[in-house]
Amino acid sequence: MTPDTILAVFFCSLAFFVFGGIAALILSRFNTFASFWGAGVAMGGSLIGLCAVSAGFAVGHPFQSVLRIPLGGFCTLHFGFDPLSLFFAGITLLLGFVTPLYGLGYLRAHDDGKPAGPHWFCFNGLLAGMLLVFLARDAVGFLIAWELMALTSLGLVLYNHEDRRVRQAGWLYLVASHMGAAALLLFFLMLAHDRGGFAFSAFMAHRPTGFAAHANLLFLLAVLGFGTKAGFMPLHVWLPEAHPAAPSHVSALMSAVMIKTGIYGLLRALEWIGPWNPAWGWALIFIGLSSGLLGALFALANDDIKRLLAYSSIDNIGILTLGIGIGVLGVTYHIPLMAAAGFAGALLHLLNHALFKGLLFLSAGAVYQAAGTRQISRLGGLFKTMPRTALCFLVGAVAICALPPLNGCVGEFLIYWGAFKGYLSNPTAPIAPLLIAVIAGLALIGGLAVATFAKTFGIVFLGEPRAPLAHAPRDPGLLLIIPMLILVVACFSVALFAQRVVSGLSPVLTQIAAGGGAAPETILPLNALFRPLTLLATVFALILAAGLALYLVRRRLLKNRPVAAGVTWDCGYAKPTSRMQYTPASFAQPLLDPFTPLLNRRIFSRIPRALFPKSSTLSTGSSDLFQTKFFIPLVRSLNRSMNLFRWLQTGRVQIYVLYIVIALIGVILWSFH
Amino acid sequence: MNLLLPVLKIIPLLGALLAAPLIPGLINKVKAAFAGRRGPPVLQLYFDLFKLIQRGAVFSRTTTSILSAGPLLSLVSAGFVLLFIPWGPLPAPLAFEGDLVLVVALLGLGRFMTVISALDTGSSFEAMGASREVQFAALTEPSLLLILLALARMGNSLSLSTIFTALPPDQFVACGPAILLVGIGLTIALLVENCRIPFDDPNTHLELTMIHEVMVLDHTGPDLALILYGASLKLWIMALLLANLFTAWAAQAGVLPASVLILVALGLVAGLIGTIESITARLRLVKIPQLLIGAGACGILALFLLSR
Amino acid sequence: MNELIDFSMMGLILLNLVLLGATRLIHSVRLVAIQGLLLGLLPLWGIADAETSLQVRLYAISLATLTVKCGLFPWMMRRIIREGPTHREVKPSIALPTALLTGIIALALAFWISHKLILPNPRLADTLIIPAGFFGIFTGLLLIVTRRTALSQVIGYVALENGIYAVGVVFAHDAPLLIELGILLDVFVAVFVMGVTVFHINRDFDHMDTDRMTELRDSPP
Repeated sequence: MTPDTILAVFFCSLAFFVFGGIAALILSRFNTFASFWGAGVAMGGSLIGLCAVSAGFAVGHPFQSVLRIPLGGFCTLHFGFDPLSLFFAGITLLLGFVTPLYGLGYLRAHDDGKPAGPHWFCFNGLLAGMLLVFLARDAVGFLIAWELMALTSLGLVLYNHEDRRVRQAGWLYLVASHMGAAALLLFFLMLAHDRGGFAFSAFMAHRPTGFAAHANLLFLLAVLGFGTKAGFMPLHVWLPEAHPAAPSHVSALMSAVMIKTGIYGLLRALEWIGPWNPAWGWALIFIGLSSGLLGALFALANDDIKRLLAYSSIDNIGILTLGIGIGVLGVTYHIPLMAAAGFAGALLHLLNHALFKGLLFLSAGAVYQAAGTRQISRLGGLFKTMPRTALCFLVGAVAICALPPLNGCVGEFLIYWGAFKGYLSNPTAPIAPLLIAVIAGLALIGGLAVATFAKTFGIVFLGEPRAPLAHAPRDPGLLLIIPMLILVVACFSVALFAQRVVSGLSPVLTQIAAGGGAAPETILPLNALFRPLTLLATVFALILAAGLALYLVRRRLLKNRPVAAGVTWDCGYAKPTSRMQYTPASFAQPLLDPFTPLLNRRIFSRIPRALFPKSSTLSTGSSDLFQTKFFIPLVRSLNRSMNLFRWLQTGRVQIYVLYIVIALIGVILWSFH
Repeated sequence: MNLLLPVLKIIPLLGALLAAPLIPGLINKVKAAFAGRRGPPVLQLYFDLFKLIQRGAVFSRTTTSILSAGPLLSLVSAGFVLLFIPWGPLPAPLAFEGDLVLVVALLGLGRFMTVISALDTGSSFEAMGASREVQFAALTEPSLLLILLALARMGNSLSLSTIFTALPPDQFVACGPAILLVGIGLTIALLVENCRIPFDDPNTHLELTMIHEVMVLDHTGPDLALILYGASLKLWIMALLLANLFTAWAAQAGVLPASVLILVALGLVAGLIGTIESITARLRLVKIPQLLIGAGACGILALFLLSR
Repeated sequence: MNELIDFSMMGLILLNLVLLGATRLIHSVRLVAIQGLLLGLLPLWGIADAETSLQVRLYAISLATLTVKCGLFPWMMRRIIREGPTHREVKPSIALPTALLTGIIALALAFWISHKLILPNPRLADTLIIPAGFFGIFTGLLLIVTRRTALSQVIGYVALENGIYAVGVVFAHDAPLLIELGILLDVFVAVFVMGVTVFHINRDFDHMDTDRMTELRDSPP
């Protein structure tokens, strides 16, 4: 297949999304048909796109294909793809295939008369927007697609717009994404001005060989603009509000794929700006460590399952950025093994995170749908009533904690490997202390993640129910289970075939590393990674086999033995109740104690005062640190200073006409100058 | 010789699987000696395991299949770690660049499964043990990785099997202080991972001192056997790492002399653990994080010393 | 011929000055109607010089202007004044002497601007059309800014329109399209602004006092 054909297939997929979505909107009167149609075109378009992606990877040699669409002499739009776009498009389309199926079942179960047509219009629009972002080859097309993505995802977030908190979350999301877009606009304008053109080919053709004029400023703008979308600290404040507010399949898509478009943009920006400054690697590592640590901490401190998963996404984006930072440092300090492992780890973690975070959000959605609440402290014992969902969540939890035998382990292994190799190659280099901090930080993040997900899984699914639920929870139907199973299988496959995946990614990695000023023919020594990865995969397979074998042995052992049921050992307490179980806050408390100033924790209590108190309450809440300590005060002071000009607005038509007259006379007088 | 090598590599593995339950027996003997008692026989754990395997089980009605998955996977993870630990000059059966990181990840898997099977019972005791366990683990993992980084620096390699063979005697002496620091760090890590005093008391069942013991309260019969065996395997692993470290100077001497030295060192490590358990008391919970961070500081200090 | 133009423009300026000082709405309507008459006859002065096709257009323009400005507008406004609950007098927010003084300053400004402007048609540039046009614009704006009731603001808008029309006539021989568009705008204003808005204001509020219509203003937080 030639690259042009592949591009045509991509556009065919885009057409599916666009026209299917519009049709869903027009046909929204026929609600059931509109939902089936909307989900169907999303899945169909994704499938077509996935065929294009696999054909693209099969082409082999470095490839690129560009299509130009002139817009009436005003500007020209370019579209095309290259290995980096293919990788991201592949992840997007995979999740774009799985989530509509789930969404179909989820929305129908939630059916409260809301028209599904507009929702599927926005959903398909989001998929189209994301695909366009990856296919755009000039700044104008990129920004148009970026804006399309932001607006359609806003429409999706506001599905439950009758809830005031959802509206507030949507508003915050809109403001944050446009502030990021403002930084991006500045970035592209500066870049276009420097390179003389808006097309990506113009950016690449005029890349400077030495340090570019405003390279640092461009990098800063790229981090601000793309980092807002990706969720770097402290630009992340919209993530924990918007992701929980959306319906679960939308949260899965947003968390798994949409924030990765920010990483895509960052990688592209690194490609365009020119030879990399080592300071950028340092900056990326600091961002990665702070996002990772603070994200993991806030995830541990949270009680709402979807908010917790959103913070965990921030945490994983931090880990990803660490990987990219290590890669950048590897290229700028000429340590090829470190660069290879860093970038390979980052890309693999990107893929893995999309898979297991999607899985986690989908199973969390199933829990929310069955139990009616997102507060973990009111759940418990759901494994017995929802075993399939529980197992899917368990797979996702083990994967996100980077434990063998699942895929999360492979990505973090590569990032550790890169850091270790980087340290060993030159222990007295200036980056040595940084690498030590990276290793220790990654381990701490991993420990916090283990605590978070052990807490979540244990408290939601195990033990006894902590509060009565509105109705008995059951496992969701096939429509919700099948997408989760697909993702489970994908997680295991990536773990077991890690080496194949990484070798398939080598064109992408070469492209990224070439952006750093390495010679275009630099081949990253990916071969050195293959043996560890193969052995890793073998060990995973062996673990699964050994676990199965041991299970069979144990069953054999217990076969002819008396097996009885009893109560949990209660140390002689007369009446233990399910309310006496550990709550999520109590589980997390020992670990969170040293970090209390960061957590902004508030305690609400009504202290019993009478001699025989009847009831009392105590609750703890933790709000986002940056939101309360930084952004809200900033916005308040802005408001106060703007209020000084309030007198300008009188609401009377005459005064406004007076303003116009003054301006007009001023302009006339000035023009005669 | 080349054909013999794979077979040779399996022998320490089999030996570990057979001899691991001896170490807790040795430790108990040392503690008994300090207390003026005769103590249980060295082979006691074998008798316990044999007895437990023959029993039936009682499961709490609150629990699910996760309760049985916990012991299984913690034993599997401990067993797989054995595949990466070398025996002196003999490399491990499955060695590769980066097996250091995999070892830590495998230990993490075992810990995760133990924690969730503790939460499965719905009991506050076990949940308390679980929450303390994750707290210690979050602080131990960075320290352990830093110590392993120091080891990697010493041997200039990312594979455990090549680290210990890369230190000829003169360099061993030159790195002496660093080796001592790494040894102290590894000892602290051993005590934490295996729930020994001063972090946890393996003998009592009081809330004040339970961490690991409390997490396994509701396991019975063969499950308990799997747990005890897995714990002894973990003890063997970390003791073997310490033994390898301190006998690295004899690595060039040949397999047989090195093996004898390692066995002696293992016994000495067991004695060391027994001694520490007998002469110190369990630390207050608030002091434990400080000690764990201290282990990490040992690692960083060793790195600093090695880079001088 | 230029003298005729000058006379009618002088009349326009004087009418605007009187408009600034008018107190009764009916009088304002009549003044604006006479302005419309003068302006309607304006394109015809100089018509002999133009070609036949242009002549036809100019006749048409003149007729349309006379109909709309002398007939349609005054009739509609008289109807509104009769039927609405408006007070029959104008309520200015600045005192009359001040308004007249501002008018004189505006007149000076208009003369100054016309002195500075460079125009393509030197023939008409010597006349008083440009100053009168600009003065009409300023008068209209002044009326809008200083009057309180919606209807008097509409009259101010019509005066503004007249001023723009006068300036546009200068280009009539070169681009008659401009004036035709202007007439179209007049009709638009007539139908929408006056017919719909004023009647709706009447129905939705029981007053037409724009001072009390401040919905656009944000309330303080």
